[in-house]
Amino acid sequence: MDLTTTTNTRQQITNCASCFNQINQDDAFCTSCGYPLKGSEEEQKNFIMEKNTKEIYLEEENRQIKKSGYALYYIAAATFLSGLILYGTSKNAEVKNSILLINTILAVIYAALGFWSKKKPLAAIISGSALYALVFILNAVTNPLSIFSGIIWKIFIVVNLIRGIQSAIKADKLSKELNIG
Amino acid sequence: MDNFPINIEAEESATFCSNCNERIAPESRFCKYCGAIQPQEIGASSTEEKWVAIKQLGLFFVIDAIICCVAEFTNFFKSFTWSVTIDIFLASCAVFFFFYNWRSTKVLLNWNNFSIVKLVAYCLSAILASLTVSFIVGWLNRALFSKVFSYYAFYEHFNYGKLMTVFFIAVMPALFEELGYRGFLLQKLLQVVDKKQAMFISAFLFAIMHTSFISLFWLIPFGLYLAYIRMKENTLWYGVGVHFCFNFTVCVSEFYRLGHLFHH
Repeated sequence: MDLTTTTNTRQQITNCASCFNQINQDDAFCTSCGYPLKGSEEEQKNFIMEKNTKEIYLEEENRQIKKSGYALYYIAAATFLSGLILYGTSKNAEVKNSILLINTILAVIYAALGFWSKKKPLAAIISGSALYALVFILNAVTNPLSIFSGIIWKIFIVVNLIRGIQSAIKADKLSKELNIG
Repeated sequence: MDNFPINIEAEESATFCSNCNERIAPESRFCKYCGAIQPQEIGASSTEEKWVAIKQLGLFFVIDAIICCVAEFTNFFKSFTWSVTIDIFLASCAVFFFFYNWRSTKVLLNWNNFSIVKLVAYCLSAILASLTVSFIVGWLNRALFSKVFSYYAFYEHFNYGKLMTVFFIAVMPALFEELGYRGFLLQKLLQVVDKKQAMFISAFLFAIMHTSFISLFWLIPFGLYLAYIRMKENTLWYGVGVHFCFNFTVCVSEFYRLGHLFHH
């Protein structure tokens, strides 16, 4: 389909050539996506090219958001696992029960946030990062040496959470510009 | 082409393009004259501004977290003097961030639609909620840990023990947690995410900051309730009232339980 002919006819076009939403024939730009309805062929081609580029960027950002979701699931699993290990190795009966319970609840919260990151990535990743920071500070304060245990994984997690927040912000902006969601 | 039919309805419900200032329909995402994107939320910011906002939020949260964790989980700061110092640190932190963002937070200190009926109604809801929560938490503490936790015990031996309890448990948190979480934090979040997400994140961060697992089940709803009140009434003061009544009820219940309500 030749997109440029659709707009040049100006007879019965009621849909934007770029986003296919309804348009007003008198408008210079589509009110849904900003496509230059009365622009030159070059302007229209450029708009479509830019739109395609933005869609590619959006895909990239969404991939990073997915990675951050996985990071949250990973934290959930690791938390649950360490709960099990501490339960198994602890000698104090009172303590081992509460440690297992606490770690399980934490794991459930992380997993729920990971799941929520598909719908509302920014809120989920910010909340997950805050919780992770709090747990880290708590462990660091009570047992300073624990800061360095598993430091590689911790760096990996933190980097992915930070990138996730940045990607979620950019994805938000791109979605608005492309008038998606 | 110049004789556009004058549409009276469109004229009355119009907005202006943020770029070229022409009159456009309010629901347009892009201006029909110049193609510029129209910001959908109030005070929309660029991605860089949002990232800066998040970093500031993070800083506030981390400072609060360090102070709270050090106070709760080490044995260094358990004396009365230290407890007061820690309270002052937390309050100062909230005040600092609130006033650092004065331009966007100052509107929350107004109380334009003051209504005694509303205030009383909100406070009654807080008292009711507090009694319910105290009952459940008390039961949980006894059932799971066979112990009863008391805030009053810390101040009991002082001459004005009851007054001090009320000040440190009801007055200070009501004021400064509202300033910090519904004042600074929620306002900052609104620059980054939409209303509902901002409310949830502020409630979640408020809840986990108390570092008590048992209490998460009521802290999150309470945080949501306070955030909802701030959003609905556009002021911090109803929330301060609710938060105060909630904590005050806890104090009074403890005084009553220990038989100290009317005499020392």
